[in-house]
Amino acid sequence: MTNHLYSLKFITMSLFAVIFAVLCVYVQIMDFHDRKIIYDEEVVKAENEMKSAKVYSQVRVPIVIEPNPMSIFIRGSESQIGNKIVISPIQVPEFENTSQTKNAFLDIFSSFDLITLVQIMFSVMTLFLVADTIAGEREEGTLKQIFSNRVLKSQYFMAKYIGCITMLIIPLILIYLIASILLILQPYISLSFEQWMTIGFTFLCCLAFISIYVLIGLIISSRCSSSSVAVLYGLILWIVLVFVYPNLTNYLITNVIRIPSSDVVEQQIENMHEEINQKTESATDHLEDSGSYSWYSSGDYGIAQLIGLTHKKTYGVHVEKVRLSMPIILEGHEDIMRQQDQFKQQFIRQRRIASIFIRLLPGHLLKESTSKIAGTHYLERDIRLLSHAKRFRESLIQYIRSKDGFGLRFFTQMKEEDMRDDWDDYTEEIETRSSPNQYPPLDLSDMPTFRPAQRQVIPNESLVDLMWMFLMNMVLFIIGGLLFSRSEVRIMD
Amino acid sequence: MLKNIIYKEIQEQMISTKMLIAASIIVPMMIANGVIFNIQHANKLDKYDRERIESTDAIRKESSSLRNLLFHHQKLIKTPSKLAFISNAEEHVLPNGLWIDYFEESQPEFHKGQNRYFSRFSSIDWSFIMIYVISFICIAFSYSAFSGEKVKGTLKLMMSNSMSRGSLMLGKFIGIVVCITAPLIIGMLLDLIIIQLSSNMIFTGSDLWVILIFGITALLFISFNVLMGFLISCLTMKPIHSLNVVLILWILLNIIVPSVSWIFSKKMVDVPSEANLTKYAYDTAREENRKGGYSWSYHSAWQGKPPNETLRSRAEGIQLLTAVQQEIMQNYLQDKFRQTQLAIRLSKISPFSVFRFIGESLSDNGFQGFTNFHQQVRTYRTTFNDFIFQKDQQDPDSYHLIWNESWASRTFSSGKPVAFEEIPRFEYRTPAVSELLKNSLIDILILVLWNLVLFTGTFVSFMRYDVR
Repeated sequence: MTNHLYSLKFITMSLFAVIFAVLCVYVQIMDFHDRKIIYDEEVVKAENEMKSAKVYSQVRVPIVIEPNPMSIFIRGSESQIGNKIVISPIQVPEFENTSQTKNAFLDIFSSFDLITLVQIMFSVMTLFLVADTIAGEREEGTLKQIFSNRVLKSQYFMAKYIGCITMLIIPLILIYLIASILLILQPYISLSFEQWMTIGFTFLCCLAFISIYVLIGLIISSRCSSSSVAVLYGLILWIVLVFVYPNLTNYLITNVIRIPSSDVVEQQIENMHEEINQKTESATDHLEDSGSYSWYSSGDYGIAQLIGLTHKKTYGVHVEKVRLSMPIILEGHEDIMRQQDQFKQQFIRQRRIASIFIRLLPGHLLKESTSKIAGTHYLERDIRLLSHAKRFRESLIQYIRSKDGFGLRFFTQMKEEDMRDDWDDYTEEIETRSSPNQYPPLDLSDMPTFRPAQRQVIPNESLVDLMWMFLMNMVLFIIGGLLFSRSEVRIMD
Repeated sequence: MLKNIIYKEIQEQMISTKMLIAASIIVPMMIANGVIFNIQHANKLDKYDRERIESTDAIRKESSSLRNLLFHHQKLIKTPSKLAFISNAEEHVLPNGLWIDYFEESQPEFHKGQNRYFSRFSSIDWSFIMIYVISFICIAFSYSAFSGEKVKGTLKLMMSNSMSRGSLMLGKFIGIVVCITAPLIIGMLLDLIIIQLSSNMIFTGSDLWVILIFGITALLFISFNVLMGFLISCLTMKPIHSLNVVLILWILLNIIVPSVSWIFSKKMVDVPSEANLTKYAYDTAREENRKGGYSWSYHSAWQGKPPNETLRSRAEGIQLLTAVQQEIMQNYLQDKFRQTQLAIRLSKISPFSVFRFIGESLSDNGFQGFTNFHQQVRTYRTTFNDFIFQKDQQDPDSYHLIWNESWASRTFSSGKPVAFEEIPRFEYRTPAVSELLKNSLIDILILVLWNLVLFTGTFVSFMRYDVR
């Protein structure tokens, strides 16, 4: 181990990895800062929106999801899925396509998070440093000298394994230390104890990943005649495992297994909204209003959003419209949400099929396990969070019902005792009071607030990936030990 | 003597395990590229054709009245590139269309299937194979060209003959390039045959020229990588040290430099968020409208009658509102373009990026392809708007008052039907070979320059190399 620690290749590669890690973390922190700024702007907008609701048709609760500081370590699906869901009785909850990046064209450039850096840099570094350990000693003749003493091959193999892991843990610790210091120095990032634990668990996942490559390197080294050949084979394997095979598989699966295009999905959803429109229209067709208003703004599905002054009978007509339309709207939204789930299942199916083929790739296991632990996996964001948001919508609808928000107060603050059958019977004072500009904002202080569900530090679904990593380590260790025990200690022809 | 060295090098490399591994990776990947491209291109063309038919039908329907055409949103999508097998150019992360009407042009949009649950991956196109596989194979063949022979002792034996160092270097260079090019050419030819067998693909003369130009560029790229390996080999004593340095250089130039260049462009060209800018555009437009003192009055009784001063004021005010917002949003798009172009220029510090963007330019794909498309859309919109304006002017019954409020302004413009054949329609024109070459010429020259520098450096280093 000390030979490798002081070797030029270890020092240069470690230095390289550390410098690149600092750059990566800096880039991710900058990007996080941008997303935080956008988030803060959205939160202010959301608060203003809630404060400006004067009638219950205007009650919209925008849920803006704070950027996850763990995305600095593992990006996952953090920026691919939107960061805002609007909850309202007359809107289907779905992630809005709020852009979290300012210039989407820059996506043509890869941006590495820390885990991707570990996946690329540490895998090549490990193979490069480890692949010539046994082969090199065999070449120099020191291997047969070692075994001229009473040393078991299994002991030698274990010692090599522990030595290589210990050597490679040093730059990994350095990288995590520097990343943590950079995080602490940012005034807009403050990490909880659970988040520090998460960072710790991702460190352990990286260690398991490096261990797999150490074992692959030792296997190659034990079978190759010369150190440079061993290193070369190791590097070719690296190209295949890190670049060729995962990209080829994903490219193949995305082209063979079709998913509906965004246009088709949007069109189908739009058609379903149109159907709801038609149903509400035919349900309320028989209702006639006077058509005279001091103020009228229309909402979705033909329901009035805000009405100023009108005849008492017309107020009644609109109350009846809301009463007849709301059940149709809510049922229609359930259908839309079911349809959206069906589309999502197709996307998930495509991904799962791809995962079958890349299940055993160490890089895939590392990314899956760390993104699930960090909470940036699509399961966390799109599936779990959205389900929680849909449940919150139910409680919001109940709240509005409890305030009689689906009656008159849905579209006006006019009191019933102020309403008149004849327009001429309205006094100037009532006319002034009935102007929506004069309406005070609704008191929503007792409205339910959205709280994201508590997460486990190690979610159950990440345990499967961790188990696979552990199994791979075990199997490779056994295979490596067996292959080495049968290999020659002298220079092979 | 040179011929002997070349022959010896080719013979040695062709029977090596490295060559077998290289061929067994390159050729199947090329075949996979051809098969997947056929599926992908057929699907894209199918979707594109459906969109075009829908768009044509919609225009035909709206042609019953000029004022319908005035407010008709046209969805314009870029034609899928025929040469995407050369470079898919991260197309799946880029928008591929936008919509326009008489008054506005939208920001770029996605009109394709995207699985947002997939982590980022690269398409297996010729560029990918060259940049990640071939370049690595070049290094594998060349890193020990001199240091390896020195350690084996064969270098001093060769130099004890009457052989110039220049011939040895040139012979090795040609030999290795030929060895690497052989499986590549076989793979490319197989790929082209597979693609040609598809019913959707007929290569024209221009396509073949583009493929040839890419082939020549690929040769320059192979040469660059081989020379890089040679140079490092001449600067080190042991092959393991050569491999160490070459690997670091490969990671630096292939992965690190292209991944960090965009950071600097973000610092140098500031682009606000779209939400912020949309609000700013709206507020600015409202302010301009307010300063102009335009009226907001409208009465339904004005419909169908000659427009009065109040209505004209409203129309002008809303036209100003739309124009100001449009200008701000278009400038915003141009800023995004500038920021991206700067990032691309900075990334071209690495020859790997230079080669990547040559592929994108030649295949009219990626960011370059989108900017070509966008320019053509702007030209088309001008033509379309001129057509609408002229048609309206020709109608004596029209009040010639056009503004962006479909519910209010319909009766003040021409309602006459328009002959469908006369309506200008958008047809994306793939740039000519000369235009594609012009866009890539500087990059090709940069690659040539890199080759010259590395060749000279290797030559000088090898002249001074201790062969003992």
